[in-house]
Amino acid sequence: MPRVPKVEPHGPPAGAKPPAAKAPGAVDDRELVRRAQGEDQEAFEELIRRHQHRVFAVAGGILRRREDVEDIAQQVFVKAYFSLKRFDQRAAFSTWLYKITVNECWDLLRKKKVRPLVYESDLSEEQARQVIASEEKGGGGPDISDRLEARQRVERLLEGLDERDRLMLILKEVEGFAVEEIAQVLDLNANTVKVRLFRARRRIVNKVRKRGEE
Amino acid sequence: MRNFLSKRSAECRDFQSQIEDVASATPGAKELSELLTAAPAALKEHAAACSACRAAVENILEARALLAELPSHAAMAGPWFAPRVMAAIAARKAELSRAADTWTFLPRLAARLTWASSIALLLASAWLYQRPATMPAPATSAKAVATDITGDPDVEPASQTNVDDEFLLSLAEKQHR
Repeated sequence: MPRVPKVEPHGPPAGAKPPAAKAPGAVDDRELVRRAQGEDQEAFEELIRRHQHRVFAVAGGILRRREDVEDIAQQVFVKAYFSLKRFDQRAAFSTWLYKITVNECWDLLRKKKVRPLVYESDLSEEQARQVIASEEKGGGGPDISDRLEARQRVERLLEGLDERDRLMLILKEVEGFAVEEIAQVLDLNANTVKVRLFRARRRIVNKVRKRGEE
Repeated sequence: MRNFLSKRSAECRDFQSQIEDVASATPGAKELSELLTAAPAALKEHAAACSACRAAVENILEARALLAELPSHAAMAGPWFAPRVMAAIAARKAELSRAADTWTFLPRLAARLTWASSIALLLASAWLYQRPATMPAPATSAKAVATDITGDPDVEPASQTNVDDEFLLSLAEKQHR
């Protein structure tokens, strides 16, 4: 059997939002960071706009509760603003921001000492309204309680995984991150991420099958 | 046989490493054949021959279908977010500058207090030095006279002294005569 050839890594999945969608001719992150370091508020606001989706995704992957995610995302950017002068740009701004995000999230979880999973009862009024609205738009889709139950089931399955593996799976399959980005977020090698993703998937699929058999 | 097995496991490792990139390129794929559409021929061949790798691809598809139930948090961030962060930054800056003002106010106040207390001290010492001695000397009453161990007064009363003097003077006069 011939040896499997190497495949060039593809870009982010079609459904995923690009990490920092830039218009042609737009200023790059390094330049914006340099300007923001010189007290340029607009430059920092532009950096927020570019990276907010990714920060929300990472925080959401760890915390899951909407209120916590919003607060932490804000805290991350405020912290980044006041630490920006110390940022020497040896790493990408996004990598630095992801590290702040992950650290803030772990800190919050340590303080709260709660499991970072959301259950049906944890859904805020707004979330419930969103689910109902999407249900009304969707028309013939499954019943709202079925969807909530399915979501809850998945959350429970994920609960059995290591926190990092869970975050990897969510970032990959829900938020559409590329393996290289996940590696950046968790400060791991891309191959390690691939291996851990492979094992995490196998674990949750086996659990589902076992439950199906019971 | 051993060579064949080790070659096979190396191929499986390569396949599993590369299938991740292939899967990322086909996010909508729901079946094995759909997912492998964009894969190189060698990957397809390996998937056809190796059941373990086929199972790995099926795991990807199954996990993807399961996790599709979860909402994305990336979509939560909207145009409202950047102004909210900038407002939080402005509030924090104001708070920091207020705190800094408090700390600069204290030394300034301390300097003024030093000046004021020095002037007050100077004035008070000048007044004490130049004030007229109007205070009367304390009067000694008979009750206040200290007594020795026998109960007799330490200081003889003025009247007694006068009597002694008169007695001595009369003695001296008698001797003269």
